Amino acid sequence: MNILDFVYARAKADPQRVAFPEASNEKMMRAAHEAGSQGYIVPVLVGDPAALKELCAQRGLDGDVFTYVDIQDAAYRDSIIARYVALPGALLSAKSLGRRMPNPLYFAMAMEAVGDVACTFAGIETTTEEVILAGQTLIGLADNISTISSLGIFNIPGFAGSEGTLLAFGDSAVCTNPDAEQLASIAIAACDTLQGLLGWEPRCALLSYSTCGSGNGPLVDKVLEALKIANERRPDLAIDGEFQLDAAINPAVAAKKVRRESRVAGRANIVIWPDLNVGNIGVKLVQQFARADAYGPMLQGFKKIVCDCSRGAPVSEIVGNIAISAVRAGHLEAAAKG
Amino acid sequence: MDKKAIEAKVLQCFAMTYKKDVAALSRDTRIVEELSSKSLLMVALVSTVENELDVLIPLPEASKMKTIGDMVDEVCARIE
Repeated sequence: MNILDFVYARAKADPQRVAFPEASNEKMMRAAHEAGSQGYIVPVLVGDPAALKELCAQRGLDGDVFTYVDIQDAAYRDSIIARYVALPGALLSAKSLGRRMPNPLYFAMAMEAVGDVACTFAGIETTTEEVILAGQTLIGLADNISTISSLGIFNIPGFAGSEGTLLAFGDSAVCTNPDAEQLASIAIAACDTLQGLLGWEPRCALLSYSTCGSGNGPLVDKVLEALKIANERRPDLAIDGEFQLDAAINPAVAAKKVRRESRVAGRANIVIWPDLNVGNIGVKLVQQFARADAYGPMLQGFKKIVCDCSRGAPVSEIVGNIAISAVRAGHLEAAAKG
Repeated sequence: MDKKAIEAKVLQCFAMTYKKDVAALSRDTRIVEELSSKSLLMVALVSTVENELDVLIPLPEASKMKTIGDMVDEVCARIE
C-alpha cells in the first residue's frame, strides 16, 4: 500500500483549511503552494499579505492559490481573541493572548483554537519545543491524554505483518521518559492517530523486554501500570501487553509466548516503546538494517491537529506531511460533527 | 513598582495558580519539584502574572524557570 497515494486521495476529497505561520519561508511557501494547487488543502498564509504576495510573485508561484490572513487586521484579531477567551478551559487571558498575536505562530494557533482553520503547520523555522508549547497553550491536550507524543509509520521492506510491510511506532521523538500515565496516553493517542489517518482498526502493543510476566521488575511494572490505565480510560481500544517485539508482531511467537486471549498479540499494527532511548534506537535499526521509509513523526495528543515538520525536510516531504495533517484534521472534524 | 512589591505580586500569582498558601512560598521554592510538573499550570501562571503586572513573559523562557525567584527576576528585568 502506498500510504501517500491513499492520503492524497483522502485529502483531495475533503480539503481542509491549513494555516501556515511561516509562509515567508521559501520551502514552506512552495510546499503550501503545491498542496494547494493539487487540491489537497486550502492553504491559509498568516502574516503580512503584501509581503507574502510579493514573495510569491518573486518565486514564480500563483498567488491565487492562497488565502491570506493579515495579522495586523485589528478587527479580525480582536474577534479571534474574544472567541478564544470564551472557550471552556482557555488558559490565556485576552490580554496575554493579545500580547502574543504579533507572533504568526500564536495567531495561527488561535485561529485553529476558534475553528477558523482545521490545523496549523509549522516547524521549518521554529523548534519542535516551541511548536508544542504554543499548541499546548492554545489548542490544549485531548481528553484522557497527559502528554504530547508522536507517531511514525514505517514501510519496512521484507516485513510481513498484519498490515503488510507497514508498522506504526510511538513515541520515537517527543516524550523522553514517560511515566505509566504518559505511556498510556501515548498508546491511546497512537490508536486515534492511526485510525484517523488510515482508517485501520488499531491493535496496539505496549513493548517490554518481558512477555506476560516472563520478566519482572520496575521496567515491566511501568508497562503493566500503563496498560491498566489505558484499558480503563479507553476500553474501546485494543491495547495489550506487556509484550516483547516478536510476541507483538509475529503470530507464531505470540502463539508460544502469549497463553491467553489477545486481540493484539502477534498482529499488532502499532508498537509503543517504553521510553525514548528504545524508540530512537528502534527507528535507527529498521532504517539502517531494513532500509525502512518513514512517514511522520506526527505530533499527537492535542485537542486538534498541530504539525511540526523537520527543519531539514525537502519540499516533497513537507507536501506529504501537510496532506497527512489535513486528513487527520478532517477526520477529527467529521468525528466532532458525529 | 520596586522589586519587593513585584516579588509579593509574583508570590500571590503562584499561590493562586498552584493553590498553595502564599506563606509557604518563597523565592527559593522549586516549581516542578515542590509545586507541580504540569506545564499547563505554568501557562496559566504566566497569564496571571502578565495580567497582574502588565508584562509579557515568553512561554519558552517561562518553561525553563526552576524557582519562583527566576520568575521574579524575569518580571523585574522586563519591567525595568
